[in-house]
Amino acid sequence: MYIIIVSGGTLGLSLAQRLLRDQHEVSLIDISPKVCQTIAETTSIPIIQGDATSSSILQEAVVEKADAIVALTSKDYDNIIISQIAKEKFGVKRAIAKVNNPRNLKIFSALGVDVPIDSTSILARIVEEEASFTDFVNLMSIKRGRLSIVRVDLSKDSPVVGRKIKDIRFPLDAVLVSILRQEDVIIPRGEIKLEAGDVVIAVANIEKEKDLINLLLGKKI
Amino acid sequence: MNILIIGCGRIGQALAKDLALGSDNVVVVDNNQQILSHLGERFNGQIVLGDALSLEVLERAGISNADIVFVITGNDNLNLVIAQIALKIYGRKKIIVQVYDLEKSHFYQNKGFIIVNRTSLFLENFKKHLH
Repeated sequence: MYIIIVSGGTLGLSLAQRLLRDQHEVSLIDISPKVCQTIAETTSIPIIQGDATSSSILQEAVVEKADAIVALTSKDYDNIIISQIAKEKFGVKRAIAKVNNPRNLKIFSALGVDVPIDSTSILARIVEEEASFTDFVNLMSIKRGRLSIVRVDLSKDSPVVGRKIKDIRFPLDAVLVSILRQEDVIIPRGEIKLEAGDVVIAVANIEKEKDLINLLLGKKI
Repeated sequence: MNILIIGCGRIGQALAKDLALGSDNVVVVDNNQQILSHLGERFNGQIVLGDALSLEVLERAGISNADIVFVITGNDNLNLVIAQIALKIYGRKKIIVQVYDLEKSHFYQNKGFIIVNRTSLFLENFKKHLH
């Protein structure tokens, strides 16, 4: 595949290097002459200096041959315009863009960016997960938030500890995906007994998420 | 009529002052307090301080009820994104947006808003005096 990356910052550069390693073709575009010079001197990545919202710069990068464009500048409005021009004017199939301000996510979707990457929220979620002292965490919401994947840590007080999975009445639209027991990953089957210290990963319809957590923790959240 | 003006540069200011003299309800948005103060104490409209690329700020400025939206910040890309927000998220019918770049003016023509390009305006005006 041929991929154009706009912005040669840390993220753009390491993405370019990864893609090259995976045998893709890559071009970088950056507006700063200084950034371009450094990249030209220290790497073999093709780099073009200029404003990626200008058609002539995109054409210099042979945009019409690109399978995807990745806009990673620090301005949300630039990332949106880059995506739109690449897609609508030059027929690039996929536009992936960095969302600098999470509040702008809705704007990216409404204005035709295929994959808006809200890195702040992704990071925040990972940090929350790693730093969390609570006994359940919403790991991910999919299908526009209608389905969620949750992690629940079972304590010895949990009413399901010591019971076999087949004897537990789970809410409809909720399933266990796996049980993490120390270093083991256990695929849930009816005969398996839950133990204190187990970490349960489950998928639930968003309306059933609370029921599921209440069942596993034995308390109202 | 509700008139929303986004960007209080030279043109935004002049437009706001002029329109506020009539019976229309004028709202001006800019992210620079000092520039907004140039409207003067006698300015008979509403002033909203904030980043126009924020749905919260646009809503505070009454975009949902705006009959006309003028988008005239100094940045083409920002203007084009705000114009599309007004069109696609808030369903505004009459949007006028300033774009400096000729190429972008052409590309974003006929997409549901009116583009005013200063370069071509000047050009036409200058050409009038040729003969």
